[in-house]
Amino acid sequence: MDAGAVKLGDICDVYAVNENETRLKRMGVGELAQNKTLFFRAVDIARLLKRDDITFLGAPSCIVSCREKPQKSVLRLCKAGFAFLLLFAGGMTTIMSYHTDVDMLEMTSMMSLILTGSADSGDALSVVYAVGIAAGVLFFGNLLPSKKQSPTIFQTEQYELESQTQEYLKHEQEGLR
Amino acid sequence: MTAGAAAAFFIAFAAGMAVSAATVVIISVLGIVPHLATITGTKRLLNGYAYTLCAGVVFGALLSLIQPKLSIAWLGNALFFVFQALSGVFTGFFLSALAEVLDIFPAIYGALRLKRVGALLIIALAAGKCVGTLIFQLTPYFQ
Repeated sequence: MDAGAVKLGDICDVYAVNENETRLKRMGVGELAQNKTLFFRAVDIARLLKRDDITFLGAPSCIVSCREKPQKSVLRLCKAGFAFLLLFAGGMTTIMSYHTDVDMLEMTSMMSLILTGSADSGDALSVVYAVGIAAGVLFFGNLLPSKKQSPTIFQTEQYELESQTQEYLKHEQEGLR
Repeated sequence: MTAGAAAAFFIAFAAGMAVSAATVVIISVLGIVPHLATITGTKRLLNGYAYTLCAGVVFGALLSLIQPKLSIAWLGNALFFVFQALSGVFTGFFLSALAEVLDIFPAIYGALRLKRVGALLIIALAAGKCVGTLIFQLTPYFQ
């Protein structure tokens, strides 16, 4: 969320029977500064409300972080361009190093000699091999367009990375208390 | 097309699929793409990065097998310079991610009780890799 006052309604859903629900939701629980995070535990909220008849459901703690200011478009473009170039060159490096390591040219000539009788396989076989690589990356990375909305292998990795970061931040905040 | 040629094409295609499966798994397990998207603050472009990586792998495979002789003078030199620089960054990224996945840093911190100077250790490691690469590339001992 943006920097400023954090209300109870911002960090949890509230359902009240004997209390005014709207008043509870608007109750301030902290002040969020720019580029900072706030850590809330269920027990902090109970202490703030001074009530012992509260039932907590869900996660026992949460972190509220300040929304990052949107980057300037030129800077974002430069960063994205760098990332694209890096991954393109990185992909090339990875596969070329592998081919050098296993002497792929020799292997291709040998396979061609066995199957066709000529060691000179021409470029067509290399193109078919490269097409196989493209198909494999798209298939195993779940990058092929399909009607089913399933995440790609990189999206699940991104989710895991974010979950781990959140867990670490919670752990760090709990350690400070 | 003879049966042998057809079989060669089929095997080449299957080999490509198998190699790319391993490539995708390694790069995915190391979390290179999500880390890069997080560092640059461009998480929305995650799928674009994945396609770019795929294009890079295919292009690299074609170049290393066909090995075309592109005599494009100064432009070739410039491209080679940029490619080498980017390859270096990617290799550093790759090795750091590998060290992280293998839990090398926590093992060092635990063994030496040096958690507070963790950042310095990583800088020392990066400097060591840099010096090692220069010795490997510039001295005659490894030629």
